[in-house]
Amino acid sequence: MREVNPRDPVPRPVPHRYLGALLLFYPRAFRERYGVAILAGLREVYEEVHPGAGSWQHLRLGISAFADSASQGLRERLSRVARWMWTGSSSGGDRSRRENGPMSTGPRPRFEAITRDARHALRALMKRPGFTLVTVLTLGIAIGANAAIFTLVHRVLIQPLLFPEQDRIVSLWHLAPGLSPDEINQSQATYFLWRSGAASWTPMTFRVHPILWS
Amino acid sequence: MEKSLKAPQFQILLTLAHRPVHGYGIRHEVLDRTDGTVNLWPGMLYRTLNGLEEASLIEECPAPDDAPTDARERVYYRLTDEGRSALATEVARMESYVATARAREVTPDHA
Repeated sequence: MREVNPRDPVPRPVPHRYLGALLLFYPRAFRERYGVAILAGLREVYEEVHPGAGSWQHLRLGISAFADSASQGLRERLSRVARWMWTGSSSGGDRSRRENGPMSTGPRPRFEAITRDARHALRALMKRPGFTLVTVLTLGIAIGANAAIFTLVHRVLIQPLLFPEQDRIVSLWHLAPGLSPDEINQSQATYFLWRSGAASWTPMTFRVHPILWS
Repeated sequence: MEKSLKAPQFQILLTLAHRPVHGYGIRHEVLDRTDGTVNLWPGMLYRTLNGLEEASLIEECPAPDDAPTDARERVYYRLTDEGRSALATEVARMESYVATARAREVTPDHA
């Protein structure tokens, strides 16, 4: 990491504590290099209007300092992100070479490598249409099968029922041991009989199909 | 065609054209020279200095011998050869604009 140099201008006591918070707009590396200088610069700008300034001038100064730090800090962050996307390094080219050593040929072209690989793959696929067709069909069938299985699992196992307090839902049916099948259909009359005598569950309803009462 | 310099970049390079100056000195000189129309707030000043340094147009240098005692700890900047060349290119571009304007009889008298 770069050594911190004595900053420009010479630091003096901070007139307003909030000035230091403005540095948070800048990326860390930039802050480490220029933070003290920016802070001292803001202090000197403040002292240019002090002590005769009124509250309106102080307010304007504060707004301008905020706008400067916010706009420049965010632009510096954005430019570093853009530089990283295109070159793989958020610092400048020469500085990157200095940090990586004299034999370095510069920052790694991360984004360019991705697009180059994609173009190469497309060209290779177009040269072999049979292979491409089989690959696309295989991928399509596999993705479709996966989607179908997941849909089934989701509906049957994951998706909750439409009823509240699902752990209290039970099904009722008659057993007829010795008969085949031993679970037998019930008439609607049985349902009304059960409902009139039910003391442990409420409400009760029934479905015609499937066989089970619920 | 070479990209033209932005106003803060041009003003900073112009300030450093004849001697090394520290950051805050640059701000003051630009403010005086432009009658207050170009106000380099600290954030813009140091971000522009950072960009110019990364482009190798300026570089840090020791304080000059005649620098005031209280300014010796400040970081001074000076033009590199590339910076002087970029400034000269920009001045030539501006001169061509001015020549065109004069040929069309647009002069400061119309201001």
